[in-house]
Amino acid sequence: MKPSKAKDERDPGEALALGIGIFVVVGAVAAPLALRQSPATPPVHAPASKAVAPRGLRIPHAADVLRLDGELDEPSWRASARTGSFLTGEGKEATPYSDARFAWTQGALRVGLYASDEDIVAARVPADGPVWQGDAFHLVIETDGVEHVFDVGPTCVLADGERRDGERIDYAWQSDAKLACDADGTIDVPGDMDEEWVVEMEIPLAALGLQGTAGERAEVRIRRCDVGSGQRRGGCGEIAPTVLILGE
Amino acid sequence: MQHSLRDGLVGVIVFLACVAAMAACAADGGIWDGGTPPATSDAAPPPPNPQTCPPCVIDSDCSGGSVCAQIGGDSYCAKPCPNGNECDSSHTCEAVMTVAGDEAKVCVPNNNACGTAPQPPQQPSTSDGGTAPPPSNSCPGLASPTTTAGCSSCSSSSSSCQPNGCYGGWWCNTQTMKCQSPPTNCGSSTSTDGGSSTGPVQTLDGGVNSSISANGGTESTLYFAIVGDTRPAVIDDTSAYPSAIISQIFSDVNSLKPSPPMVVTTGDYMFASTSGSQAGPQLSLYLAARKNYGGTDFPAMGNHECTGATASNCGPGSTYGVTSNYSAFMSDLLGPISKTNPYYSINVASPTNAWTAKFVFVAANAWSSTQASWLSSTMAQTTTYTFVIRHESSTANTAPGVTPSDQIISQYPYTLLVVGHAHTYSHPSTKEVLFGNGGAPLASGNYGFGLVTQRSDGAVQVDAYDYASVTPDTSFRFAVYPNGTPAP
Repeated sequence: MKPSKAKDERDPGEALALGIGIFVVVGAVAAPLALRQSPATPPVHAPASKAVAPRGLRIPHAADVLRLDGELDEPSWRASARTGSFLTGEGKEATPYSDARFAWTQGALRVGLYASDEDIVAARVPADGPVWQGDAFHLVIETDGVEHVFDVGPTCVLADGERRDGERIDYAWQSDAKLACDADGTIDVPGDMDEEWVVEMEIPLAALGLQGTAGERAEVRIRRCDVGSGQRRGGCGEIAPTVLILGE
Repeated sequence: MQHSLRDGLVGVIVFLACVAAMAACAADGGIWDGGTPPATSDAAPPPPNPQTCPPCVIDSDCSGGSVCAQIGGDSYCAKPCPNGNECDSSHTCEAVMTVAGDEAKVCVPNNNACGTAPQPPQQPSTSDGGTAPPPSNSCPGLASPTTTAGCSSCSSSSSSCQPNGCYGGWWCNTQTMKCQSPPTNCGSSTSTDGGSSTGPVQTLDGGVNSSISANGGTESTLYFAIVGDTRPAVIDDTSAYPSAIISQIFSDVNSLKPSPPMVVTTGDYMFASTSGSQAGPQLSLYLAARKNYGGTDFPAMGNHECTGATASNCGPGSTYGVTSNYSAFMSDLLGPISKTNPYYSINVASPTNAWTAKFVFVAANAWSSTQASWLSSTMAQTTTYTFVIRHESSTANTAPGVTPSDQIISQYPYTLLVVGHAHTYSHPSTKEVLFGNGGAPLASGNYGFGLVTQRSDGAVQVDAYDYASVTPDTSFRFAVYPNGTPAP
């Protein structure tokens, strides 16, 4: 991972005002923007729709040992279950491209998140801070009506929380997830061309309320929003609600 | 002398520039004196109405089933009229030639709305009031209207049919046996990138006659495609190699009329661990996809042909040495074109040597003092056009060879730096174009390819094609003169 430079100095108020201005000016094309969200807005207010019937994704059991380094190079990643490209609200392949892949072991759910990105921007915030102010994935894993929320950006700062019964997210909850990230490019350097960033993560099954038994299920929703500078600000893409099924 | 739409626009622009600068403008056919676009005089006739005569370079510039046809001394989109009765009252069905060199019947606007057919070059006056020597009738590879030749655009029984088999003042390309507009600089010496005097060169008229092999060759029109960044998203993920997209792109390139005889590729054909075994299988998939294209591919090396890291440096004696990715690239992609170094150059010229071009492939992830010396000596070779192909753009300067090669390149004239690395397409600066949308996970834009086409004014036009629709992004289109200055 490359050293980073000072963060974008635009404060949230300016960003919000800019966002409002843009919204007014391009009101005629507001619909396509509906998926976009202000980096100052916690993504919890705009979760992926649950109205769509979830699809199923059987995820394979992995036997190898994961070396958490942000490189999805273990054999189990090649056999992992994949979401395919994230999509826009119109059902088209979202750009920048994103995808996610899953495997599980006896103790953990493995999640690999890939983000193509020509201008990588990280929110300089502490753990459990508003990670979504920069480039970030917003991952919700729901079991038994409890949402486990993970926001993670290219520097691997994680905001994890839990929401029960539709209440506010409790960021005091800790998943004890282990993760590593790798960025190919220069984080927070707007003038150059970056390639991508990757998150490699292991989430303890117990934190998700899973026992580690084949056939167990959890619903997952993922959204990724791109925060670039100027014209290099992409939109958001997401996957349809998906039921992960622990395979044999 | 006929003036095309583009010439007319150039004339207007030059006229305005001259007025603004209180400078004297050259007369008709103005001298191209190093960076100044070739200009016509401000007395040029008004350009054809683009609504009536939509300009084009190739068929895909046209919509609604129209073809790009030679009309009135330039090329315009025109509706086919194979039965002779498809034209409305403002058009006449005439037999013309398409830019691909095929005869076709199309609806031509009445009253010479797109201009009149070109006449043979006039004998220019000399300063002493006499006349200059008549234009040569033995331009290499071309037969003048009065020379008997084997073109067959018209029948000898027709009164307008010239001895060379063409009509309307067109010359016969004796290699393709197809007619084309008259050469205006036949026999002139090759200019340099610095922009010494040169005039319009051959266009796509008569199709692209080419003979391209591993070391370059000839093209009647400088014409090539650009494909870049064709790797999967994740390391060793060979099962997710973007074969379908790459196949479609090369199939698209092959289907263009005319099909470009050569493609330059900007690197990153694989995403493979250097300790693994996936480099070869991924390149096999690339080569299988590339089989959809029948021309010659000249590959540049990307960072993924080293270790994958942008900052990595490979090759004998380098930091990472000869990795499995490097070896696979050298053997599978450069072996077939007999290149023994990841950096190399090829030369392409017109059959008449009216222009010359060199393509310089820089390997910024195999940088060495040897490559630096080679690059200096190669760039020093004088050619009309110089295209430098390198994987990383100037801003991706963590690659070991980017900044050093930039320093060398900047000391010499060049036309365009062609790069990839970012998974998109863009025109980062006047003399740099980026195509990295060949199948690797997109950062923005669409998958597709670039197309570089030499125009009749000597500038090269760059288009970005979408792989699904095989249509150019007209908002992207730009052109530069051989010395890299913007062309209108």
